[in-house]
Amino acid sequence: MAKIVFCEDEVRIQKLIRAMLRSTSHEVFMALDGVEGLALIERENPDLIFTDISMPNCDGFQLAEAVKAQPLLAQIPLIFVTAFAQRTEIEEGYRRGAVSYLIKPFSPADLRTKIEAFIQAAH
Amino acid sequence: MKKGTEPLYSDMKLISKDHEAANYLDSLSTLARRGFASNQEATVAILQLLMEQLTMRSSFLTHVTGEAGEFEVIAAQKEDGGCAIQVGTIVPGYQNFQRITGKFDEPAPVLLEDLRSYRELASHSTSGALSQIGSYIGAPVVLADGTFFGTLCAVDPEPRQLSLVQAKLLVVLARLLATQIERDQELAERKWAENELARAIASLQTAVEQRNRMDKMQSDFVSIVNHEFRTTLTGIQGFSELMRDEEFGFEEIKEYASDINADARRLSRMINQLLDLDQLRSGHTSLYREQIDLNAIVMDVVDRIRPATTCHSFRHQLDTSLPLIPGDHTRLTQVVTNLVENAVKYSSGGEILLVSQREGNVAHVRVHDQGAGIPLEALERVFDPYYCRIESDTTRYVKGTGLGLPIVRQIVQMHAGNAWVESNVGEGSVFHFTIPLTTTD
Repeated sequence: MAKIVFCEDEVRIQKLIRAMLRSTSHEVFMALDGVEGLALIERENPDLIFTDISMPNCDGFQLAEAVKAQPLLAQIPLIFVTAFAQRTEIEEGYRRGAVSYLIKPFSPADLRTKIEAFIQAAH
Repeated sequence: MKKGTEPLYSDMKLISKDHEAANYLDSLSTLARRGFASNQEATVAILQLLMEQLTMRSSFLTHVTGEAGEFEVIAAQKEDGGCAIQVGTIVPGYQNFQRITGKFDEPAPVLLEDLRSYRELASHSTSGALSQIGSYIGAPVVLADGTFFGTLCAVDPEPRQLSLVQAKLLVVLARLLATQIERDQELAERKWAENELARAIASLQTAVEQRNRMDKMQSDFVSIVNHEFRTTLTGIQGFSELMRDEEFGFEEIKEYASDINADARRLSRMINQLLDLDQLRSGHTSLYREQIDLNAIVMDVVDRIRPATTCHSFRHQLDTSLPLIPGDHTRLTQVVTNLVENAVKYSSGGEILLVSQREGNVAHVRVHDQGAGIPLEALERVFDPYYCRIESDTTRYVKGTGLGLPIVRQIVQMHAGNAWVESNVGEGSVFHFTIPLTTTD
C-alpha cells in the first residue's frame, strides 16, 4: 500500500496505468508534465515516483534534477518510464539519479513487480 | 648563311685584360650577393649593370609572345644618349636576329657590332626606335625546364666593339635573371597550390560536418521513430494484456478496445507517412491532375479537424476570385491537412487562421497559428525530413515524426510551387505554400 506519483503526458497511458493498478491498494496520483509533477511530489511526499522522459514544459530529466536537489525529496526512489531505450539514454537516466527503468511497452506485471520491489526497499 | 657555323666569339676582338675581367667578376658577385625582393628589382639591377659594364646606353628585357617569334619589351633602362626603347614595344628578337645573321638554335649571345647597314631591315619592325640602333648584343633567357623566356639585350646608337668577357658577362646575367624568374614562378605556383589546398580542406571539412549532421539526424530520426512506435504500442500491449488476464465489465472492455484501436490506427498512420514520404522522394509517385477548388479543400480540412480540438478556434479568409487550379486533389488535401494538424499540434490553443489569395499567376495559401513560434535557425530546417526537435536540445519533448512538413514541401514542389514558413519565437508561425494557376506542360 503506497503513495505513487506518475508523470505522463499521454492521457491514454495514464488511463492504462490506473487500470493496471486498480486491483492493488496503492494510491495513484497523475501529472501531465514535470511542472505539475514536481508540485504534486512536494505536496504529497510519495513513496515512489514514476516519470516519463518526453514531456512538455519540463521533461523527465529536468524533473529528476529538481527532485534530487531537494533533501527531503531526494530519497524517494525515482523510476523512468520511457520509450527511449538506447543504452546511452538509459545511462543518462541513471546518472540523473534513477533507481530503475521501465521500458515502454510494458506489461501490467512489469509495472506491479517494479512497484513491489521498490516499496520494499524503501521500508 | 653568311658566317658559317664557327662560334661567334672568333669574330670578336679579344681584349684580355686581367683587371677588366676582375672588374666584371666583382660587379657580378656584388649583384649576386644582393637579395632581391622582387623580379622587378632584380631586372632593374641587372639591366643597369649591363649598361655600365658593356658601356652601352640602353638595355632591355624581352618576353616571347605567341608563335610568330615576336618579342615584347617588358623592362628597359636607358642612359643619356641611349636608344629610347619603350616597354610594350614589339621587337624582332633573338630569333629574328638569328635569321638575319644566319645563326639558328644557338644558345650563345648574338652580337652585332655595327648595325648601320642593317638599319633598313630594322626599320621594317613595328617600332621606329629600332632604326636608331647602331650596335646590339642579346642573349637568350632560358629557364631551367628549357622554356625560352625571352632575351636580355643591350643596344647603343653607335657601333660598339665588345670583348669576350663582356659577352660572357651578358650570358651570366641572363642566367641570373632566369633564376630569378624561375624562383618567382615557383613562389607563385606554391602560393597557388597552398590556396588550392586550403580550399580543398575547407570544402572537405564542410562535407564532413554535413555528413556528421546527416548521421546525427539519421540516428535522431531512428531514436524518434523508436520512441513513437513504442509509445503507441504501450496502450495496445497494455490494454490487451489486461483484458486477457483480468475480469472487466462490458463497458470497460468496449472502452479499452476503443483505446487499442485508436493506438493501432495511429501506428498505422505513422507507418503510412513514412512510406509515403519515401515514395514521394524516390519519384515513384505521380500526380493525378484535375481542376481543383483549393478553397473547398481548405474548408473540408477545417471541418474535419475542428471537432478534434477544444482549445483552438478556426477562422478563414478565402479569396473568392481564386480560380480552379490544376492539381492532385488527394495530395493537396494532404498538404492542407498536414499544415492544419501541425497548427493544432504545435500550439496549445488560440486561433488558427487560414487565408487563400490569388497573387498574379499563383494561388497562395497561409496557415497562421498562435503557438510558440520557430527560432530563426530552424526556419528552413523544419522542412528537413529528420528534423523533429523544435524545442531546444535541453528538453526531450518530441512531437510527431517530423515528416508532415517534408511531405508538404515535396507535394507542393511536384506542383511547381513553393512552401516556406515565417515565424517569430513567442508570436506563432505562418506556413505558406503557392501553387501556379496554370501548368507549363
